[in-house]
Amino acid sequence: MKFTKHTNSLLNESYYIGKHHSGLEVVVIPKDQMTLYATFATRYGSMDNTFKTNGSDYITVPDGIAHFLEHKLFESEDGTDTFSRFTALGASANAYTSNEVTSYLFSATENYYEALEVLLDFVTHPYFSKENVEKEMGIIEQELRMYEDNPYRWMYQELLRGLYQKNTVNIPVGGTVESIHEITPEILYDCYNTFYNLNNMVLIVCGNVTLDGVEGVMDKALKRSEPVSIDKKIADEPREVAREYAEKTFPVAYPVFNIGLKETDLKGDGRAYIKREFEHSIIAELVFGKTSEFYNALYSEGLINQKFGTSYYSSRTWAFFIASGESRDPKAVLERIKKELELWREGGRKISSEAFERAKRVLYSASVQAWNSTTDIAEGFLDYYLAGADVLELPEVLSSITVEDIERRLKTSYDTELMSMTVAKPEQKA
Amino acid sequence: MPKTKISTSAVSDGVTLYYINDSKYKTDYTHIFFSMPLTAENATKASLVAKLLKRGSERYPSMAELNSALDMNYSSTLGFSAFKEGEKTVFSVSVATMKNAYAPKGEDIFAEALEIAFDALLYPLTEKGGFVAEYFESEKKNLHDSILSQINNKGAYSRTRFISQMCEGEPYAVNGEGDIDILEGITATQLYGFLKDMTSTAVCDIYFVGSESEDRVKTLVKACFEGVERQSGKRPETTLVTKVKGKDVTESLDIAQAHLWIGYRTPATYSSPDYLKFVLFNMVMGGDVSSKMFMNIREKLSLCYTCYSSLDGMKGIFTAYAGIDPENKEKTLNAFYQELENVRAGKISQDELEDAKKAYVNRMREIQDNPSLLPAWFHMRLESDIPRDPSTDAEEIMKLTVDDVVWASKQIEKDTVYFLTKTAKN
Repeated sequence: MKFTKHTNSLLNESYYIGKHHSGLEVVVIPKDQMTLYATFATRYGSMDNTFKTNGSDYITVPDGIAHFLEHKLFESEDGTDTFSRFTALGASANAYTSNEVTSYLFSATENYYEALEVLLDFVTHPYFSKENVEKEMGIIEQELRMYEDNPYRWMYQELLRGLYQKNTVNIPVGGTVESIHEITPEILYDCYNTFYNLNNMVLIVCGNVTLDGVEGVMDKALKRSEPVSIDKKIADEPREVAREYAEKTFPVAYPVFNIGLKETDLKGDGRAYIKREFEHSIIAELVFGKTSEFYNALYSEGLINQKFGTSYYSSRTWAFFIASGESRDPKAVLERIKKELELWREGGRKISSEAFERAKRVLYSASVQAWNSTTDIAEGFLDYYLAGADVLELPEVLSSITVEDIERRLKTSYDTELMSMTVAKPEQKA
Repeated sequence: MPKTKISTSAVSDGVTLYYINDSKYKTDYTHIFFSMPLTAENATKASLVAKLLKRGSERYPSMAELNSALDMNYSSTLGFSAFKEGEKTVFSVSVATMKNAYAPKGEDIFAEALEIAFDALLYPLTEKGGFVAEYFESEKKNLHDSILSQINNKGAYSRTRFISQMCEGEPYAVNGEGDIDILEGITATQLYGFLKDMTSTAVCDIYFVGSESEDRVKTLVKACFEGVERQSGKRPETTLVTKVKGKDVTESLDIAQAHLWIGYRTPATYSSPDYLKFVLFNMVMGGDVSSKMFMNIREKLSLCYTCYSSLDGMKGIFTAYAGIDPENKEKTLNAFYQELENVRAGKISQDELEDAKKAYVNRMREIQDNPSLLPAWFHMRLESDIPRDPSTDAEEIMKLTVDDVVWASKQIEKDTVYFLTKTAKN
């Protein structure tokens, strides 16, 4: 297998990328640490509910199936427990499902290649039976009940439903107690055979391994997958939000809130993607960060506390800005956010060179310190990889961003008509 | 696996520096821990101080200016927090900085961050001999809200309730974030006095993990303490209680999932020569995904998504947890007791034993790779009569046998069962 080396001399970091004859793309990030971390991921998540392959008809599957499949892959035909296979090697395995990716991972401090082989082996050997699907229902039902009691999870899920009318990012990752009961071994195999084709997957290994070593394990564990073309149905998302407001009572002490603003400019992969993400992060720092007038004013007024924070979540088909926190008056916070954004958009507040430099330093420092633990390195790599971007380019793209870029971004992306809010509030005491 | 090399030196009376050289990460970590006895008053005051110190200092007289200085210094993080560690209230100052090697203009990020941190700690904004009234009142309200908001996270909230029931009458029952009633009575002057007392008398342990040289760290830290007249008090201790209460407590909330806790008293503290036998017992019972609890209560009986057990090596408490359907309390308890009986009867396969050992060894090795977690690991074990290190613990646990686990399982005694369940609808 031919590996291509990518290096950033400022960060003093490199990685190697290659395409194995099985069809699987592999990334090796050498790190001289005892803890090795590997993730084997498929471009398949909770939002991929309608799809077709190679000319067949579209099929629609029950909500929560990607997550259910993730649970079931740990089952094996001969009944051996997958977790124990890792534990016996001194490794620790896990998996997660998000809107658009399912990832199987382990960390190990010895027997790296043996553990890697187990990872590749169990993910490529599904075993779904009526009995083991039935058995999983109870476990997943308790997982969903746990989320039901979590006000933060509810707010986030309902925010997605508020922001998006059609985009399936609004489907809950775990589905619902009702939808998972529609799942059968046959549907699981359909989804597996479509999305777990090696050409649709990636392996990222970070730690003290050699290229030959990793390739050797791949040769041994993987059979070739025929190239596949997967057509995921992506609904045309209207510009407008689905809903402006939703609330629910929870056993919480004070109201907690999520406020979202929908991004409509989703153009560009690779460097453009990184640039867009940085622009939003700089705006978050300037407008709402802990040094901003907004934050300090609302904090002094007692409208927000230290739990207030903002983020920008993005992918190829959806992206949004989110502010979250706790307040006795969440609607007042929303009004102030709108007012603040209008001020910045219309030139009522100007970007000072000091504040701009400060925001850049914050992000530069984060992009350097992203190269600490093997876990963070591999997970960070995966995020950018899925967006067609190269994580080594972060510092360079960041330094290229100008004040004008930020002013333009404020105008193109922060339309305060495109906001939605969710509030989890305490029951009114009689 | 080599032992972690820690170089220890005295900085001032009762102030010790523990230096660990580590070049794995691009971050230097400095953790400063002040230890006080765990009382509701100390916990409340320490939590309130932690919030107030972020409001500004003499050099940076507002929150915006303080945050701005940190951000300009390449986003140095400065965290003040108070937490419960065994029966201690620990006030911690944590500083994490991007290593100087990555400073684009050769700035001394590390020294600047220490200066900002100590300025905020030792010279906060004051008026009339106390904290500035406006900030004091606002942070009092924030802490009040934060203590009440513990209920927002049901898993953690149920644990706090459980411990307060099981350890009723012991310092360990104290809520680590503080007490609402005590909070109401604190004044700005008292609180400033508490901070002064703490910085001058509480035992202080400073951990550095990173690339700066030991001499340089020592010199800088010494300089930071120059304005403080130290007269160190003694290191607070945690009391081991072995007498059990035999309580069975049920509480309810409007929730979908119920939380079941089972608590046992054990003689297992870090100072015990048998401590690792209990660690291994915990790993076999519910310490990992190949444990008896996970394999049976979750995988075989499908009773839960989350279940695990843990061992507190400071307080000598073994606890087991499961998040279950409110209807399944008895079923889950019986399944747990059955597994415990199996362990006591020696029904532990060679695989179960080896898996439990290896999972623990892997954890110890991973901790050594994590400079941000190492300080807390060592700090928790400072009072131990037996010096502990992740690599020695890993080596020692490999020597243990099924008999050791069985022996440990027979030393534990049930104290309290706590159940947080769904409110019955009328």
